Amino acid sequence: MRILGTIIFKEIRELLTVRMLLPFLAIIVIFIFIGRAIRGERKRAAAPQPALTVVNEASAIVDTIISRLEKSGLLITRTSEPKEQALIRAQKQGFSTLLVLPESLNERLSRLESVNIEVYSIVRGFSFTQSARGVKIKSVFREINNDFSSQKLRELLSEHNPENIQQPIRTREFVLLKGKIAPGTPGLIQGLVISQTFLIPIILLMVIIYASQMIAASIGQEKENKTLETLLTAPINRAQIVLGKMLGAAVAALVISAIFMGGMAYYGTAFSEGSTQLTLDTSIADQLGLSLTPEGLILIGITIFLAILAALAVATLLAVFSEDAKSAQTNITPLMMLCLIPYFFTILFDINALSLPLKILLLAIPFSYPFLVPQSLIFGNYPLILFGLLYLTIFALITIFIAGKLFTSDRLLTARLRLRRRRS
Amino acid sequence: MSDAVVVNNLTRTYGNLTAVDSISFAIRPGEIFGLIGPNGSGKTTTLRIVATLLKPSAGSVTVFGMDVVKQAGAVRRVISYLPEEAGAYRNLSGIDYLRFMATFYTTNTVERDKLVEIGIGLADLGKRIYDKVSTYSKGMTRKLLLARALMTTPKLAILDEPTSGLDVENAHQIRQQIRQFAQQGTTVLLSSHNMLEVEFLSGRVAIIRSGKIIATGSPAELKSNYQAQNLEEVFLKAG
Repeated sequence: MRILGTIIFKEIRELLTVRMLLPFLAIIVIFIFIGRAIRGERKRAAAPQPALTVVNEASAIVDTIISRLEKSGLLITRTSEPKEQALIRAQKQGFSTLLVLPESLNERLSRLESVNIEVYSIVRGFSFTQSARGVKIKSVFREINNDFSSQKLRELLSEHNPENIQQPIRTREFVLLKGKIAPGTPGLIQGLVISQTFLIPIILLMVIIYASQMIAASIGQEKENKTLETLLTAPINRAQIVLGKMLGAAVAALVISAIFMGGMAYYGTAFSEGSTQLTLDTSIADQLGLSLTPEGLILIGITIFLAILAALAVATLLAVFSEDAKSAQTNITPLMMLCLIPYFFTILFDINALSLPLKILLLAIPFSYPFLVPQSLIFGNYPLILFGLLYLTIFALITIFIAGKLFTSDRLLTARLRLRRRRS
Repeated sequence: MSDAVVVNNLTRTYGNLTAVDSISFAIRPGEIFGLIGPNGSGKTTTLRIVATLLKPSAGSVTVFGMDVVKQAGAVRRVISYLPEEAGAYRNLSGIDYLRFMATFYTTNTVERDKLVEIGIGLADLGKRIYDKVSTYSKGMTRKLLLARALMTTPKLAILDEPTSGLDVENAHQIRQQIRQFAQQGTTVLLSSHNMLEVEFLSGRVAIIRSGKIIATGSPAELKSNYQAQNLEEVFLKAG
């Protein structure tokens, strides 16, 4: 156990060097910087924006419009100057918007004539603030229109509910899933499933790729620096060397993934902060039984663990044929492909909609299951989950066995030689 | 007293290439035995087989009566192998490297620290022992590696080109250390293409060419048999 610990510790020290970590830390700094910038921009978008408003009359409806706009976060400055002058002033004095209310607004609305209010957005760049402002003004006028028409309808047809005239036909959408009904659309449900499961494939992909690269680098470096032969003649069980290398690589990969995910999470929350939609979605997910249970999470954990073990064993097998750290990285390219194919397939397609050959291909790749299991759990596809667990377990055991055998044989030192001869 | 190493009709092939072709020799305990020959003659393959890294295609090798294939684990406990052009872990300091390797030879921390102390003395790197291996010169790395190989006082030290690429001073220091350890009872099997070095160090020598041993004996015997001034001439005449 102590020897294993010593090997793991050495592996981590050799793999997690400052030079290796620096690019990752640089990316995190960039993520944090972008996240902060987005937060700042969103804050600015929420802050009151100065708007110049050309008004040529004093009336109750004008007051209502101004008051509603102020409530939506606009700092209104009234003016009666001509539009052309107001446009120049708005640009010069830093107003974000110019609103031009037409003459005789009250009178024309009273006659039930439609009016045009001109909204000029002063564009000084493209940002969240800019787009958010346009959306806000539109929603304010939608509300004003709604209230005004309701009021008019009440005056004209007092015995009727204005809403029944404005929206005589309404739709209520439901989804039926696994025999359970909940309000919502298929798009909303898809979003819910993705929101619960999208992190798993990304983390998994990162851990598998980093762990494979780490173990390949470790074996490649041992060959390149000619340290492998010394290690192999030391009085230690070769299985401990393989296990130590695998665990060391897994820990190093987890550290890097955690750093990366931390940065990404900070970046991601900049977009979702303060979203009320999230709470609403969670209640629908509960109604439909779409939330992952603790048992489900354990199953996902086991699948990921097996996939990482299998990936490490495959990377070890491939790295054995390398001459140095660089060729070790090249040798594990097939493994990267085996991880990327299911990742993109599960993101882009529904497995049930795939043609039979593609489905067989996807199910034959052991690294597909960590991507398939979370969705299968949500839709109750237990046969696929059980098959996946069994297949991954067998695959992991076989690859670990072969990797172990390779380390106890002299092929570790001669594999490249034999391969080269065969080629020639 | 039985032999420390017995190599019996040893053959090793890589596909169609025969690297070592039915060679036999024996090394007595405490002896420095030199294997000399040009590059690609089979020296390193022979040493790797004795060090349990490669398996023989035919024949057998025993180290202190233990078969290198069937009892590889037991053999590894009594040997120490210094490969040619070996390196140490670049991100560890010299002392951490010695500590890392010493852990495999004893579970007792006090004993491990004693081994490390011996290693520090042998490496003779002063305060540089605390620096990262990546900052060492070739000579410093080689001294560290020889210290690693000898700090456990192995029964058999297998040294492949121990002074390869070193300057005169470092090479001399390493040769002295090898002699000292042999005097203290360590059997040494070394390979070199530097015939003068082997003549200086070895009690007996085997000359290997194209995977076959073409002459065996003490340097004096070989020089007398081939009427040569030194082993270099023996090698040329024997070929």
